[in-house]
Amino acid sequence: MMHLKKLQNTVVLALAGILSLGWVSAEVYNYLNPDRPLAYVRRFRPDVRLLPKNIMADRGEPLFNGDTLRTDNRGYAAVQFMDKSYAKVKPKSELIVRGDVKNTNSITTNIVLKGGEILLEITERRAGNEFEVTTSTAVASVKGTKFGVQENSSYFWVEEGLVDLQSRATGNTVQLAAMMFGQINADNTITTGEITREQLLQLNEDYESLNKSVTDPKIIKFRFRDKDGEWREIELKYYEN
Amino acid sequence: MQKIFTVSLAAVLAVLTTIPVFAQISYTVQHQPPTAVERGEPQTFDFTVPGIRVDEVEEAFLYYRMGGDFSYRQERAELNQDRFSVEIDIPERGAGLFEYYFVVDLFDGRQITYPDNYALTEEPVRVEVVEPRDKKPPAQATVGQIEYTILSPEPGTGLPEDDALIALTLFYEEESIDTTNYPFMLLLDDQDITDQAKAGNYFFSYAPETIQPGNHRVTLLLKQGEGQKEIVSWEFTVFDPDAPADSPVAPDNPLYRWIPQGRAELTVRNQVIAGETNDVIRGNIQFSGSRGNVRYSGYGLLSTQESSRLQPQNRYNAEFFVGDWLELEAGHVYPTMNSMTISGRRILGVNALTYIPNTPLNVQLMFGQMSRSITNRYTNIQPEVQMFGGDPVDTTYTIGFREDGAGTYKRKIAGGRIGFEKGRDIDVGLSFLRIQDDTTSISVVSDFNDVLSGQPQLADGLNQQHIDNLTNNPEKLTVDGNPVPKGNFITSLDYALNLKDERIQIRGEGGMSLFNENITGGILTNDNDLGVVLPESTANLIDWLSWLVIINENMNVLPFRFEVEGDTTFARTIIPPGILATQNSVNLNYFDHNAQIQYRWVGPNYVSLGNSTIRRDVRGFTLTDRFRVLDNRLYINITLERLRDNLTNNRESTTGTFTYRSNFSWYPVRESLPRVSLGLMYRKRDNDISLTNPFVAPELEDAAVQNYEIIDGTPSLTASPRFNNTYQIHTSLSKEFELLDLDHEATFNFSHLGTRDRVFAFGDTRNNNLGFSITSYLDNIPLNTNLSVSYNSTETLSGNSESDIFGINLGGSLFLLDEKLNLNANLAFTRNNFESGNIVINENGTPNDTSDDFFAPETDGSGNRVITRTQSNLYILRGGARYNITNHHSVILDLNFTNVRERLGDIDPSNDRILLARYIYRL
Repeated sequence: MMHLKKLQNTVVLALAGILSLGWVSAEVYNYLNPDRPLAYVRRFRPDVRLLPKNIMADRGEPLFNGDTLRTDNRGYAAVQFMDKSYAKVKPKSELIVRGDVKNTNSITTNIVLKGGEILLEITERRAGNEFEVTTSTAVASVKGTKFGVQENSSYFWVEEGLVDLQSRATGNTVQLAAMMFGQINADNTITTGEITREQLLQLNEDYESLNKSVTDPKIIKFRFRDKDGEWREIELKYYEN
Repeated sequence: MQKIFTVSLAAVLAVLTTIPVFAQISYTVQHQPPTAVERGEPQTFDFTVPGIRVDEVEEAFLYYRMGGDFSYRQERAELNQDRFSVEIDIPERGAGLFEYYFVVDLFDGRQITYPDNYALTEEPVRVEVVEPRDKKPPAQATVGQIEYTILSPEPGTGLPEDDALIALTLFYEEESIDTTNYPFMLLLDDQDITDQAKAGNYFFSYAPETIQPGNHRVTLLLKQGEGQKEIVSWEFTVFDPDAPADSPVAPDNPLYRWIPQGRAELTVRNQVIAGETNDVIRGNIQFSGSRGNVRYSGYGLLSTQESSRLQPQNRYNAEFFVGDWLELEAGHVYPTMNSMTISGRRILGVNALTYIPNTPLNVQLMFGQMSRSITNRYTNIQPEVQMFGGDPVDTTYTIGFREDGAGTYKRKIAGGRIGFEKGRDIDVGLSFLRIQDDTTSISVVSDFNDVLSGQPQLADGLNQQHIDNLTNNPEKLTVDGNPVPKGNFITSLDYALNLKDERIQIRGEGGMSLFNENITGGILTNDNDLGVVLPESTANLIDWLSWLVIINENMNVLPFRFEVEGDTTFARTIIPPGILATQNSVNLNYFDHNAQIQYRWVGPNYVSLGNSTIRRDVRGFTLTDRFRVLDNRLYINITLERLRDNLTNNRESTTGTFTYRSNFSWYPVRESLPRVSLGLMYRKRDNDISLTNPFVAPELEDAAVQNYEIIDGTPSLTASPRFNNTYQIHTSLSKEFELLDLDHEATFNFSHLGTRDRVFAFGDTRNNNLGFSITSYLDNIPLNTNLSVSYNSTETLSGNSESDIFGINLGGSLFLLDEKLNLNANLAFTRNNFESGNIVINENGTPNDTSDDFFAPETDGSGNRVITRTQSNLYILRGGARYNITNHHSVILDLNFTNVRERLGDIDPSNDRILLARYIYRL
């Protein structure tokens, strides 16, 4: 009997080990071979840094599963996802992109907002496509909407569509409709209410001005005359902040 | 090295060909059915009619449906020289067979069809529908397997120079494409930018450092050996924010925003047919454009063939789409509501569909005219004196039509559909359609009063005595062939439900039709020819319905129940079952089987003037199962069908039809393997009437004109028996292969169709058809060639009429000057033999007694069969050239020379020629 139980435990452990190993291997493989990006940088204003590659963002730069995008004090980025959804990232923000893309009917996206503020324009969800935003206090499940998140104040607001907002600590969920806000309080309860058109304009105002200010780097051309008397030209790119 | 341009000459393969003696008598259609068609992919169908004259053709349509559909959709075919072409997007949904037939309407009223059989709608061409296949070995996937999303810029949009960024993502199975050996290429304005782009296997982005204001095109290609396959291509525009407002690249220039793509063509044709010269000039323009979610397109055609005696030859239409909520078409449009009402029929009018925002509702409206009015052109009144015993007893008067003088009423159409749609899961629609001839649109002469009031010149030539006679007896003037105005109202309900991720699909339609065969007299009133009294409620209902349809005694079935009360007969309204129709089907997609059960019930009086392809007076079940085996390479389709007619018991007998049909298609993924298709069909028709005629010799019983049943020992006339078996086998094989360093594509097909009539001596038919074609592509020379051979043999009337047709066609196409110049030539020969014998009624020596009459082959006075023989050879030489002067300008020249030689008789040979020049300008 003891032998049987020992054998049983061994088998269970072995199976668990194999499964764990397989899962870890798959994750490692996916991490090391990030073939399919989940999003890319559509627009940006320096400085925007991508981790773990630790490179400055560039237009068209793909973001793979696990990549972090960090904006500095003056930085701004517009990130587009593979289902054409948009995330506009304010200065002093940091987000991690997670998810999986199998086909057009199976795109899972999870943005982990570690700080700062984002405004999202999510395309209409197909069955099988999921879009979530996770903060330290809450998870917002999106069903085709335009909404914003302030991580520091755990504040969510919805301009269009519906958002399911769940407190991570309590598991309680509320549904936010258009022109509503939800806030995770210190006691992990959720406060909801309506926002006015003026409040909404105010919340969106920064994003509009940030997005407008984003352009390609400006170019200054310097012309020099070399010793042979021929003109040479050098271009310097710079951003206006 | 110049690339080989692998566009072949359209395969011209004689399948069924009759001779055009002097290119005037009869034509048939040459067509090579494809071995299979690919679901969701466009498929071009070519039909060649040797010797046909362009000015003879009024219109040509391909009628098509997915197997089991209630009726056919129609698509207009374009004619170029003697070849009709039509492109169909094979529907994504539906059963596993694609069914079609082709009809050419000639101005003289004749129709040329393919297949050339008596029951087109029942026996169309059937082709297996398969999933899109790989064009190359599995390492290279087809476009059909790759989904893509254009992320930036949106097609057709504009953006400032400093925001120009190209990005798209792909979706496909990783193992289906070997991107190492067959990589993707990203092009901007035809320049390869793959190396400058951030390119992976699934994602491409490119941010140009500088890009010129103006239009640009992005193309993604998949390399395939020496060639490449286009995955997606789209255009966008870069603004120049500093450009003057009227500049084409100024962001606010409204003209710029709507700059279209398109082309314009001018065609001049000179033809000499049977010694008569005819020149035709046609010009057409088509364009399309978009901005954001707004799309538009337009088409216009002007032709010197336009005539007030014909339906419109000049055509035009415009389409306008806004996002996914508005579709607007105007001009010559081809609206579809559902198969019970209208399904692709051309009208001149407006068709609009809008999805009401934030609701599941959509509304479709259409109105216009199906045909325009053509005036009647009468001959003058002809008096004819009636004689009796050598003495004149009376005078009758007739009026006829001049050549091509018969007119047509303007036929108006108005309809709508209210739909409820929830994603792909639910679609329900309620439709209404009203079609009615405008009785005021043309002047019609019915009696002499009409002549006096409207067209007195028709009485020119009559003396005063005739005029007086007619004035006193206006009904003495008879007119044959006047057009008859008709009216039609249909209402229908269609629904589609998709359950369990579309594994279960439930669809159906039901409709009711009111059809009036002659609305001249207006609605039925108490002053009617039926001698019935209309209760007030009935009269009010008929009066109220008159804005939809005129109800009178000329309905194809009277919607009344007659009740006799004393001396009076009352007509009370009912819904006759014959005007109803329904079709319902359930599709189950489980265990790799796609099974469908379908039930239809279409009354004999269900008529839609908007869809002439509805088969009426039929009810029964159809069971279909379609599945794939051998690693999804072998498609098997099995159908069992049991149908009956005589739904309202208005016929003498009821005919039952049992059909078994199976199709086997080997459709391998690799192109190096052949595609093979085999189809078998068995059909039995039986009306359970015994063959009996005691008045003829037993050996002539199956040729007797009349049939009897014996009741209590007495023969009684009864319906003719019907009992026949039809067998069909068709097979086709196509293969691509390399031989002598050349690439070849060969197709072979064979079909046999035979009907054995068990109760009629002359009801047997037989048709054999054999065809082979091979297209070759040369490696070192940009030349491809095509050779096709065919043989067709047909017997009808149990062998009393026979035809044998042999055809051969040789052609080639050569590309020069970096593919700017294309030269092509084609030589076709057809040898035709016809033997035609008539079947006539033999009176059996008793001219006053019809009971013993029987059918027999026609004989001459010596007892020999009368046979009409025709033997002829047809030669067609066709040559042409196309020169693309620039990307915007092309010139095309075509010459067609036809010679018909009659091998029997002394008819002089006919030499016909057509010279065609065309200029194309692309916007």
